Amino acid sequence: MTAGREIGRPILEIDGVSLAFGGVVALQGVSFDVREHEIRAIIGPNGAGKSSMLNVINGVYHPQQGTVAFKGRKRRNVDPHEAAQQGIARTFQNIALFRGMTVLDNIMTGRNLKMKSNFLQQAVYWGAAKREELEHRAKAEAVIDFLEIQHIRKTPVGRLPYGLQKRVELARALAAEPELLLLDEPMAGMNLEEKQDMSRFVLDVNDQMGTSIVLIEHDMSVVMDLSDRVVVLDYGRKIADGTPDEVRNDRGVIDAYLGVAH
Amino acid sequence: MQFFFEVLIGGLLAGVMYSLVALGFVLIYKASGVFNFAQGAMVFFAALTTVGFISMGAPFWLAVALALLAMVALAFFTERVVLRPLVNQPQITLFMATIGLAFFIEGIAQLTWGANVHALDLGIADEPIEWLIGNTGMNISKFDLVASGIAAALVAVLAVFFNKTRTGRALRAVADDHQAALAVGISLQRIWVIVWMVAGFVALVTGLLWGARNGVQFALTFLALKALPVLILGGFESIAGAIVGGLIVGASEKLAEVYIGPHVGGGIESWFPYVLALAFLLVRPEGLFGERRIDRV
Amino acid sequence: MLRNFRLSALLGVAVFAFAGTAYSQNEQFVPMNGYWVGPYAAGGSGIFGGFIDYMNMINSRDGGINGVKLTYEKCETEYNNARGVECYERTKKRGPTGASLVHPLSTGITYSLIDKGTSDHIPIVSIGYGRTDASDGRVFPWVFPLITNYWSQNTAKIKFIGMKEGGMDKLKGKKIVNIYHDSAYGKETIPVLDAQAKKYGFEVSHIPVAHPGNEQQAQWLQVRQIKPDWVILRGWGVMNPTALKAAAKIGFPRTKIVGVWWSGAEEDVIPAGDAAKGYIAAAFNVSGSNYPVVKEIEKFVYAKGKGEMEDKSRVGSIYYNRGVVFGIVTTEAIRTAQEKYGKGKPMTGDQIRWGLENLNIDDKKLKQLGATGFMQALKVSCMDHEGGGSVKFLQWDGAKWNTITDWITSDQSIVRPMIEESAAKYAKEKGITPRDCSKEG
Repeated sequence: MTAGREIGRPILEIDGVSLAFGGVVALQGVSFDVREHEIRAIIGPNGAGKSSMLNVINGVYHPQQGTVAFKGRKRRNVDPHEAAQQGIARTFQNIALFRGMTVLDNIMTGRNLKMKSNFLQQAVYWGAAKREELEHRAKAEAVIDFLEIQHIRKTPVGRLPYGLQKRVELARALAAEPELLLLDEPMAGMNLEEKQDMSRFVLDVNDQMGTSIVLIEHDMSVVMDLSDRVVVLDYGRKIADGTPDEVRNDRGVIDAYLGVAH
Repeated sequence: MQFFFEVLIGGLLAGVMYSLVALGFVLIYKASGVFNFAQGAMVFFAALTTVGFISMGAPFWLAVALALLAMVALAFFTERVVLRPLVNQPQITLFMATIGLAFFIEGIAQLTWGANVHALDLGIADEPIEWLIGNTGMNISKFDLVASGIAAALVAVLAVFFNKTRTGRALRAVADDHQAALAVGISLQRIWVIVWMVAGFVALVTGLLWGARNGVQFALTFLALKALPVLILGGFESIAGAIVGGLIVGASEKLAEVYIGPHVGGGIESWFPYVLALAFLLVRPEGLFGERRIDRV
Repeated sequence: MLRNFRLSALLGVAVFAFAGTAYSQNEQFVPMNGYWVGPYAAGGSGIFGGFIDYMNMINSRDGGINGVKLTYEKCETEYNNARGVECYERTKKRGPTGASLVHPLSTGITYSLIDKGTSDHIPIVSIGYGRTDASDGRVFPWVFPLITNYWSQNTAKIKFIGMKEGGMDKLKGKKIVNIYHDSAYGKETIPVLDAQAKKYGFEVSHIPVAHPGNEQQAQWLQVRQIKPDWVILRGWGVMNPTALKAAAKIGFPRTKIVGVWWSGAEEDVIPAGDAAKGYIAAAFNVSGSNYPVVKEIEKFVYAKGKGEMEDKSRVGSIYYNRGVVFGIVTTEAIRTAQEKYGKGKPMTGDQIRWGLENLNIDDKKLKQLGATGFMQALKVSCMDHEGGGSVKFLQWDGAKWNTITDWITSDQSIVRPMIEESAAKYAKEKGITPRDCSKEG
């Protein structure tokens, strides 16, 4: 199913990360890694700390303890936009698109970091700024083709159905040509057909672009089909880590999902 | 009937001048969700700085350029000292901060350039156009027409900037969703500096036009009062709304003053636009061009 | 023209500035509750600049009043009532005898202080503003709307228009538009104008301009429809240059617009540029630095590197000279009090009240002060707290104010009955028994 791509060295290393909000512990000593070209899933019951984990990687939250190393470099307190500059893109559990803007404009914001013309040039929309705009427009169009959303290119995002919005959000993330892509429940609320489409796109991205992907997903069959390795969180702790098969048969995981008291 | 049209056209032209003031508010509100109370003070500061440099002997365009530089410096200062420390605070806190900023800017302006009032001559006569009087009997000022032209050009430039450039797109993105904007790598701080710079530029243009009309003096800060009903009518985040709102306010307040004023003792110009805006608010709370937001509860 | 940074003023805190170096018992304290920042700073800084400079000149040239040094302290009111009262409370006990008197320089603050001044025994002096009916000293013993009030000024203005038309009888059938600031101040002259319209048979239309008055298109289009012979401008702040600009826009001759003194400073016309040329305004002080009293200030204050005006070109401006008038009236009242209660001693509020009420600045005195033609002669009494009532008319030539008339007296046959009626009404409301002036000495 994922022939032709080489799982490489770790691109992201999470080591002993703890995060608390006031007295509420969201993550506690979590460690795992993500390798190049890998699809890594994070699963767990509601409130397990999955989204918190993604927000730590993305720089929205700053862990009180532990380190995050991206491409071998440890970092402290990065901002989301710095994380984006380093090559991390993401989608959100509740779609966070720019609703007033068209699909194309949304995707173009993904190219934001790649554009170099200065503010003054843009103010007069002249020379380099105009050339650059057209160049990046071509890149955005490629992403649009890839995700098969040509027909809605000029539609304001707010008017699109949910499934398509999810796809546009993925497109915007891809437009940034990230090395690491964080997907927060990309299939939530989708029907079977939409899920199949989305699964295909995730695999294609991973396969053709070689992007490493961290995926949070509730649908177990999707997780088991897509991912190379799975981390399981429960109450902010890591309770299992391994291939889908290993995790599926793990006693602790089964207990956690069935709600056995600790 | 001719008198009616004269009042109407005069009102529309005055309305363009209101739109200009409202535009400054819209820009900042769009990008940061903050109602910038200091916009009026910025208009005053920009105009006073220009005439200040002129009175020191600088040629007009140099003075304008220096004033623009001062507005850029003010944008950096505002982002660093006011906005950045208050990031993630409720909007009301930011609003209060801009009230403080308004007093600060007014104080700085007067302490730097003195409390004196100044004339500002842009070289455009504020006199009726003879041809129009001759042919239609209507009294329309050349200055008002030129000012409307400048305002239109400014809006066109802003429209291109917002729709065609990366920074413009980033501005809209930030306005739409802070979190998502951060995630695609847009730096909020940079955007805020830019938006305050652009608002400063608009304030400068506004200050020059209004300053040429009524003199450069503290009363320029009162212009904010004229912008508020325009904003309520047009919506706080729509450039088109600011323009149309300004036209409606300008035309209706003049017609009301002339035709209703005498029957109620006059002087209704100052509050009539507010009444109009409030009545409008009941029908369309988001304004003429504002985005209707349905929040899920 | 870059100013030094006055941080304290920036923060809106009172600026303390003592003229005298060491505290001594032989001082007379005068509070300077004015405005140097905020919307009306142009007027406040000019007037208080002239006022303070005049007092410093007296100190420097004469060593004070009969050896009593004048001291002062600035307090920033920002033309705001609450702050004005705060300043009054803060400064009323300063100096060996407390505040000599108060110039609130705001009609609003004057109203707020009438009761306080009366009970604290501190005279409230409002020159060219304030409560018109306080001219009746029987009801308002502690309030002195000196020199001229709005009603007097208005009758002088109609006299002036009559002169221009070739006689008061020529006013019959003429049209006059009164463009006024839509506020208590602006409405003040409506009854007097109506009374005169009846008396002389002219037609008057009152057109209000809403505050701040930076848009007057509608009003002036109405003027254009009425086609008046004269327009009276009762403006304030930005309303004045805007009115002149709007008049130019409809082609109404500026030489037919006559303003009140709060519409007649350089600051009111300069912003209008050429549109202001030919405009006429009433004044109870003239502009120009070519008067001995201003020369003395330049000699004894500015030549020594001191002086309040950072922009020296404002010395001799309308506002500045008005401040000099404030200074003359204040110091002469103190001098008059000393002549009765003891030369060379600091005076109390009661004694200065007497000084104000018996103030008599005749032509001889004016000459001595170097102020002949600069201000009018003044004789205050228990009955009459105004004391003058005349105005001159000035015309703006695009660069300066030129005096175009001598002192034109008011028509007290119209004004006085209205003042007495209004004061009597106030006395009744407040339960005040008017003084019997024959018993005052």
